[in-house]
Amino acid sequence: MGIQFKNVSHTYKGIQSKYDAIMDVNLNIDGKGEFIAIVGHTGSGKSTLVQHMNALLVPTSGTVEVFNTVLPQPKKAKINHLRQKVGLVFQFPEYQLFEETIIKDIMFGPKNFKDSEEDALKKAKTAANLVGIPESLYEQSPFRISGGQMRRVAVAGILAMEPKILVLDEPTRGLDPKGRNEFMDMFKKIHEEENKTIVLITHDMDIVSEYAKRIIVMKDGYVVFDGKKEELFEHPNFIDFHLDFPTPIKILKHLNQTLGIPYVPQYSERDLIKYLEAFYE
Amino acid sequence: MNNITIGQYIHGHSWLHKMDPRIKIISLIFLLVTVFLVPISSNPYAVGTMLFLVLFSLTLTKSSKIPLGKVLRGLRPLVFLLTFTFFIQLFYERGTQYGTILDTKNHLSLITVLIIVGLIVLYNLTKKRIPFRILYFILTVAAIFAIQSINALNIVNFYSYDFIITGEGLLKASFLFLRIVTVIILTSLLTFTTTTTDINFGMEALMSPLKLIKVPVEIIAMMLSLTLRYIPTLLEETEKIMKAQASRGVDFNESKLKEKIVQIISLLIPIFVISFKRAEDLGNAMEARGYIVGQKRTRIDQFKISVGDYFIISMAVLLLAGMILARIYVL
Repeated sequence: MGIQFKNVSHTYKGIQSKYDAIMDVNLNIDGKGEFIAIVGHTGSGKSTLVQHMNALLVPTSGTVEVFNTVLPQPKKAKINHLRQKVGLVFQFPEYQLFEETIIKDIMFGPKNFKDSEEDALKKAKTAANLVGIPESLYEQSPFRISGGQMRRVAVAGILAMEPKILVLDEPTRGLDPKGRNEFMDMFKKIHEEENKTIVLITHDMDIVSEYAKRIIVMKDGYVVFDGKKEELFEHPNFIDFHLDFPTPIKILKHLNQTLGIPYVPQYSERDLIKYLEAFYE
Repeated sequence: MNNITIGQYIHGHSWLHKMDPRIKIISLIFLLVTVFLVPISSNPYAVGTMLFLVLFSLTLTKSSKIPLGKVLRGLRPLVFLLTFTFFIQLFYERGTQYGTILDTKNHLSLITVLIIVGLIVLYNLTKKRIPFRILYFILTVAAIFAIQSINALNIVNFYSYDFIITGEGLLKASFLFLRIVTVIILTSLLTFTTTTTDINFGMEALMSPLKLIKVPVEIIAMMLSLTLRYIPTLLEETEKIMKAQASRGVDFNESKLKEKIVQIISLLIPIFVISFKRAEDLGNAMEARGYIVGQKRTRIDQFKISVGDYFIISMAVLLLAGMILARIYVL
């Protein structure tokens, strides 16, 4: 179950040129309980990779297996049902809102997958509750609320489909630090309470170190690292990945050099504070 | 989504690229008028002129160093129309002024129908692998008619008809065909060798006499260039929204009409919202940089009409004048 990539390559064909977005990717993503962060530079193929996960793109060579459906399928085979199992939230998802009221917009997804009106409403309310949209907003227009709330509504629209795997393309982009933490805590809650697999693309190494369990590093279309976060920051070739260290690790390394505090990697601000308090007691 | 070729400029350094856009547009108009003025007749002068114009446009393509294949690809959306008009002209025309070329009895029988169906299937199966698809299509259509004229296949006949191709029909069909092809080659040469901003400048300059009657030419030109500029951007946004809605279960291929309407709304509203937002941002950005509507402005590229440009336009004028004179006195 879950998603398996086998030797997947994807080439974009332009009018005059070809562009290899991802090359020879082998991955295995479990259907539940994973929290994966995909990191890499702009143009390293992250977005292309995640669009294979719900069959928006099909590999130009190799195969992707999504919940036992092998892609590419023969012509005109129905692949729409895969999108219910793997919910994909794009960058700036607030632009996909279109209905008259917020609750109707959240119901749009479930209704597309042939849920009855009542079922869709029930799912939509659960999802709205999960992302923290109060009931008083349900009948409001989605264009009259703040940007952060629009994004919540858009995420709820995907969550209402009850996907088994939730894929997010830079969910915290353009948010302030408070909004960022609220969003990430929300995803963590969804992950812990429902044991859903969450895959997220991000540039923010602090998010990666605090929340993700497994990290996939992409570089020029290749997967160059795939493993636990504890391994990544101690990896001998870390410099070659062109990634930044997360803030807590930077601070610890600095303290280690200046004050001689022993270097024991901590992955979040909270853990760092706890560690330092324990050290000075 | 990415196959739309509007203003598809191909970078190059040929004389056509370097030409002044104003001169290029005027010369193109003259050339197009000339092409349409060539009379349809078997007169050797008319045939000669038409062939000359075809060759001329091909030579222009060659000298602009734009690959011919790319120019001919512009014909692709018109293949059906071209073939259709060609054959309609060919069969419909019954004038016997130039004699008949072909007069056979065609039969639709069990065997020919089967062969025709086979040919169509074969065409659809193999068309992806054949490089000269346009030619292949025309040949297939021709073969379909040729098969019907073979008497030996006339088993279990359904229907027979006279298949007559007259000289006049062939002449008209060929002229029409060549005319359309030439016009497309010439116009696509303009878009291939001129950037949209240059075309826009040319249009603005050509429209400038309208300023005398208080037409806001500059504003129209600015609107035109912004519209052209934002076509690819909006296409990109549309693709993004399509993907986002597809992730929410919208299936743009496999659904009923009633669902389709909701789906199109789910696409249109976000696009509207994005366009308005972009327009507002752009307006603010332009104002922040001091753009005032109707103010006198200078441009970064100053165009100067060179001697070569004068030569080219005089050639175009000569060609057109010669054509008009020929129509009055010779043909």
